[in-house]
Amino acid sequence: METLSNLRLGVETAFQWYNLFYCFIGALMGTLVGVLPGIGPTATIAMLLPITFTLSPETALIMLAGIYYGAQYGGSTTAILLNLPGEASSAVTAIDGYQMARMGEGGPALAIAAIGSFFAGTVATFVIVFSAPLLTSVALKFGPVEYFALITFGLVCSVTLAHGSILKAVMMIVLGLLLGMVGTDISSGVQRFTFGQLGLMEGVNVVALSVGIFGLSEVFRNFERAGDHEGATVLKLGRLMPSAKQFRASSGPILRGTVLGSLLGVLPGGGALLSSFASYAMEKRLSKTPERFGKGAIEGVAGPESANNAGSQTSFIPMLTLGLPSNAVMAMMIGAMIMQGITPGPAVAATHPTLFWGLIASMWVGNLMLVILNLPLVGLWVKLLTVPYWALFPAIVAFSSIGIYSVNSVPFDLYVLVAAGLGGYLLIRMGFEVTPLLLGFVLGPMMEEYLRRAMVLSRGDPMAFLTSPISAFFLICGLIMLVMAARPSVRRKRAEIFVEED
Amino acid sequence: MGRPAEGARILQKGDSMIRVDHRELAGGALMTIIGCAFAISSVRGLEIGTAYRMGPGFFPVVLGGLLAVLGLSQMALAARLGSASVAPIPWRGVFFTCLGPVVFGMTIRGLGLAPALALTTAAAALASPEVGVKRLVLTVTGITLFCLLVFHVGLDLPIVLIGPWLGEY
Repeated sequence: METLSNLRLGVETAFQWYNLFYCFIGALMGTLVGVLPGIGPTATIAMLLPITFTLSPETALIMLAGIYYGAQYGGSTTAILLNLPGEASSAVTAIDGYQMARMGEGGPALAIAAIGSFFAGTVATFVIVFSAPLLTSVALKFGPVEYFALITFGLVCSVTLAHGSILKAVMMIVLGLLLGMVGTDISSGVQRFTFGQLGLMEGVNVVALSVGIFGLSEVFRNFERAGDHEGATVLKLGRLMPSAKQFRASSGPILRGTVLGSLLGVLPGGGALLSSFASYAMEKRLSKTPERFGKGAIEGVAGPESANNAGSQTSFIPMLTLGLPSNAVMAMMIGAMIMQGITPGPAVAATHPTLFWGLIASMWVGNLMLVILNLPLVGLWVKLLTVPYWALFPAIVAFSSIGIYSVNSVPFDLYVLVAAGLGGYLLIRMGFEVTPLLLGFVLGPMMEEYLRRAMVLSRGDPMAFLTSPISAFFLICGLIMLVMAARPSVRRKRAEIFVEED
Repeated sequence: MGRPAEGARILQKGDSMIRVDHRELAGGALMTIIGCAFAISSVRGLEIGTAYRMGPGFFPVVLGGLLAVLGLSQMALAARLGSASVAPIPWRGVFFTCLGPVVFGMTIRGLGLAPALALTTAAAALASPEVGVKRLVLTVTGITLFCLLVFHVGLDLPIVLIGPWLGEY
């Protein structure tokens, strides 16, 4: 059994004391920052990304993954206790979770969220273990033509599955692709769009860009509603353990949420987000008492929380096996891998087996740590919610500044950070989403490279994309998705799913 | 952009009115400009090549053109969409928050980690309208010490504490 020996290698790697230690530190720091109001998982990872560069590749990725779960987890805590979802996917949790907290049921809501997430995480880890090698072996047969088509398909999916205007999302992807062109061209060595700046020769620094568009812009946005937060009243927790009745009510939603999340998470473009919305809609439809939803139904916490954790776990699959990020966090993981000198793609499993399997095994460990870390310590996290903005924002700025400087020791990167922050803020104010921009940015150089090689192979004949069956399949699927998404009936449905009780 | 965009009203045949969403219009215009800028600068400064042997300018020209076209279509659509109200830009917060990293970038090599951190934190702390002298001192010392502890003591980053401008340490 190859899977078993791989799994053993993974478990051995994940249980190295320093990997355990950094996984723990990651989960702890992720929760710590994720709990802070107004800072979502993406901003958290972006800020803590530079810290991991001093570590070995597998330890760095294990720690980053820990930060990711931790931050997501912390986001649910603020969603339930403060009605302040850190990111869109925990917005669903806030609907019923906050109502439960208002009725003094905050403890059980948090506990069910934790238990559901842990269960979903465990199942999703096994899904990865069994599906990753299959996908990798298929992907290794891909040539540049197929890869180009696959990336295009992935980007199209991320557009149609994200919420908001499709046109705007496409523009953000194209803008991201263009930003990815900045720097020295690999094949000709020519400088592109660098304005003679030495700091841009190796391209726009991915860390500075992500911290800018996700971290700084978030700080600016919080200033828009400054004053709201000071002295936030945190609701009382009540008892922690859910009653037997609550357990029974939650078991179905947790199971269904896990399945739904595991499936949807693989799709590029906010799989976690989509799955938590879909799970909420499904539980509401299945419930005998749908009128309880929105008024503190525990099913409305259990389902979406499990779905969103399963989804965020399985979103590692395309990143690990194909080198394709399905969301902003995965894009940053890819950035981290590249900075560590690893080329993401199907070869990673063969060339870096300890990293590949160690990361997968550490997901389960990380989830377990979160349950242990969070349930007993929830009172401490709640205290963090009361940190005032006037102390929080300077800390974020200081932390990101050193972090970004430490990556390359180039002061120019800090100006990139400020420019990215201002640009990201401007775009968000104009109603654009910045996640597709980062996806495009990370995939841009890869996409161009594959396109060039594909064209050389086919002697400049674009029909090559249709004569290769795999490539034709991806392109046709992508086209169908775009056409479907643009149809009025589907558009309305999409709006319904994402806007529901916003 | 400073005031809530209400959507200008334009009179059209008779008294039926259509609304133009300023935000959508500006977004589309911005994308058109950026797309054109990339496309034009690639055409002028980079070798385009052919589809068979693509030069460094090929992909950027295609993408820039695409972005410009998409931006134009968004501008066309802006006339049909409703408009959302937008909060005013928090100028003070944005300015001082940006000043932080800029100060860091300008002083890190000369002053070293500790003073650069203190200045950065101070600049960023001024972003909050609720900050007074006491809070300023508290934030600056607290955050600087914490960051030094994490990055200098904990992670042992190879950045000098006190830079050459102050007599290297």
